[in-house]
Amino acid sequence: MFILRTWFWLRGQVLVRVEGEHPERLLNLALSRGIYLWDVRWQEGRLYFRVGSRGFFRLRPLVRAKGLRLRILAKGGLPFMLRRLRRRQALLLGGALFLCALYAWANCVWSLEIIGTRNEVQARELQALLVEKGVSRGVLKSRIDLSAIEHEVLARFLDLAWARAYFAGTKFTLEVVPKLLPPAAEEPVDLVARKSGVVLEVQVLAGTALVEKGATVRAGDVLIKGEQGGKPVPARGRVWARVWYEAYAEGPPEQVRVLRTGRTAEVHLIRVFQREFLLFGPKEPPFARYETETSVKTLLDWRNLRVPVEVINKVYLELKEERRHLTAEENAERLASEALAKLKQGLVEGAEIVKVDKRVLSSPEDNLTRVRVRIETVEDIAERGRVFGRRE
Amino acid sequence: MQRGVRLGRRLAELLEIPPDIVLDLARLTLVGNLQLVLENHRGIVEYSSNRVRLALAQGELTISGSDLVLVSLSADEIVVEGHIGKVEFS
Repeated sequence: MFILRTWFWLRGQVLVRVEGEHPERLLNLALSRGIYLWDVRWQEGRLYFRVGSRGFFRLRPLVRAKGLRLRILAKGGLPFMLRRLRRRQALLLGGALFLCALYAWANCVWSLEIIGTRNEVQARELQALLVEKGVSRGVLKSRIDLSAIEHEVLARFLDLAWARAYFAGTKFTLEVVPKLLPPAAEEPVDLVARKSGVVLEVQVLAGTALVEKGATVRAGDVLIKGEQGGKPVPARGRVWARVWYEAYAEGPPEQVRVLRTGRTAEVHLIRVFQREFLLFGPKEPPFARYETETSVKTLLDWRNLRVPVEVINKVYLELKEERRHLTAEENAERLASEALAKLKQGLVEGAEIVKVDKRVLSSPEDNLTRVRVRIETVEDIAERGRVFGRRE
Repeated sequence: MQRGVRLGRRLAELLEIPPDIVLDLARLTLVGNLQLVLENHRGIVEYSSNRVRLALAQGELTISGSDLVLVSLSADEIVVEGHIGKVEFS
């Protein structure tokens, strides 16, 4: 039915009133002639209905033949609207002007973007170059020569490998890719021991090994000399060695843990611009010790539109301390794992722990437990030493 | 005539065809007491704002109520809206 109505709107339609004796006779006539009528209404002895403009002209002779009177009350639909519009030239002109303006503005640059440069200074220089080339807000897109900008950028910035300028709608984008420069030639250097230990394996990539498997080295000893065939080179290689670390921990046989009690209080706030207003809930957190969980709901977050109103949901969770008495063994175990964790944090990458030795030191009369943890690792202890100049 | 109808109905039941197609009957759809859609009609006998009489293939359908409006009027379908009080076959 919607499609039918749309069709009649496009073709034009009229609202008519029929007067006379038994106007409903007309309905059957229209039906039998295949004239579509709608919104047929009976009011105070008169018949009102709507009919398409074609149907109206076919209906008129029938009405005359029956001795009825037909009157058009309203005209609607696209053809009548167009006729009215033809009389309102100013409106038409305004519409045309609007379309022209929209078209013109769509051909301008309204935002600029530079992608790919990693340092601020260069970004500013690129911006200056764009200004110089006439790229700024409100400039016609056709005035901008994209390939000239690309060439200019590459010519002036030697550390850029690639540049592309393009439009996406009303947005101008300059994309650049910096060159990856090869690392500077290294200076001759020795590899020295970072830690003391026992050498397990020596892998030399460049230079001459001064130690071999089984040797005991001290921190600072030269492991691989930066010299090969009498020429100074930057020494490279790996020296795997056994290294020992030790840590000590002590503490009373008591553990303090912070737990949630399960009691909570909820607060709702509304933030307008930077100001916060309390919607409901306590003003001050009702607990002595607590942590909070916050969730923020933004009303609308679509593209770059953001409503400066946010609803904030805050939950205060009460906390309590729980003290637990530990046995001597439990305490020792706890302290040992703490010490071990501390040791592990200090290890270099690639270090492998091969042996762990935990020892409870005999405790005197006081309440403390003392633990010593010793670990043995296998790791690369080679480290770049002092750079030396060209040696004869 | 009666025999034909009976036979037609049997046939419709057997083949699970809607009887309105086989027997050339009117099909009514009522939405509460607000709207009545009548398919397969034979024209309007009488129309006023509180009574609509429609011709069917066999007999007549009388709709009584108030503020009755023929929302759509075409050769195969009539839509009546308003406060429908009574629907009667005769």
